[in-house]
Amino acid sequence: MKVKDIGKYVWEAGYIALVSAILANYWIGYNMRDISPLPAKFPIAFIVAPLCGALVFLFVREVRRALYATLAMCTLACIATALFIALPCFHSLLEFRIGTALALRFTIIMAIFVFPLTIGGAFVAAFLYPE
Amino acid sequence: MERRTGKLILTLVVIIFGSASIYVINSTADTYMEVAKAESLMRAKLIDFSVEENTVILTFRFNNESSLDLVLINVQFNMYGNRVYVGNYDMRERIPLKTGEKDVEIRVELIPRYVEKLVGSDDTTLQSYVLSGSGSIQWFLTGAAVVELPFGEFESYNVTIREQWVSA
Repeated sequence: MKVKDIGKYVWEAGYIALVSAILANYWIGYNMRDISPLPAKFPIAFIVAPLCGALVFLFVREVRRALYATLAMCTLACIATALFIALPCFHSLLEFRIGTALALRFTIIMAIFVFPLTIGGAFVAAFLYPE
Repeated sequence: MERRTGKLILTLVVIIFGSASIYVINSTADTYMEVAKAESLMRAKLIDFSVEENTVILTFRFNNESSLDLVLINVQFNMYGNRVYVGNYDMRERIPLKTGEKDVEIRVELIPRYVEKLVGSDDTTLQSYVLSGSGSIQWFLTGAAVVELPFGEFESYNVTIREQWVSA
């Protein structure tokens, strides 16, 4: 029983990590403009964020757990984006002070948009497809 | 059972999109690092300075450490000779900066009233002043070069120019 539970949690964690990778990718693409191969003119990240929330709910299928899973997914995506922005610092191409300030700026703006959008997406999915 | 199938389908979808996203993040990271290299390692170094009549010929060496094809779109600087302001000059020719070093020659014809101020008489050229040994000129340049990245016309950055040279 316990092994089965561990397997379930690992599956869930892997799923949430992959969804956060999708969210981080679109947000990085939105921030990086022409550097990213994603379309720059149309901010697709704002559509992908609620879809990611919906994906999390459809997997978890419990409103309360889906909320926590969505929060965890957004936090992971924000951390991934911050690390991405600070990437030149790790190769000594940018001062840590400047890199940290840039990463914080991008991540705070991301969090302001992404947390409400994904939670909204999860709740809309919960309304459309009840537990 | 039906719920498990739904979960498996969702996982499959997320694996496909997640893997594609990780691949895109990776390729974006490579380009981002190249841009960071281009921006932080680029220098505009003054390597040669010569005087012909009242024209000053400056050679700048630009080093492109990235794999991107950059374009130099503008070089603009204030020029001082013996601490006296001798004008603001620019070069607006598009010059490609491929990976490696590129020497860019800029010809600047000094404004006559500034030459007069510098050499002390109106019938002496800069070249004759320097060659006659009547005095050396300590030049000082401060300005910037604008370099365009290969991602559209609004993606550019500045390289600071702050150089000195003595003509004797």
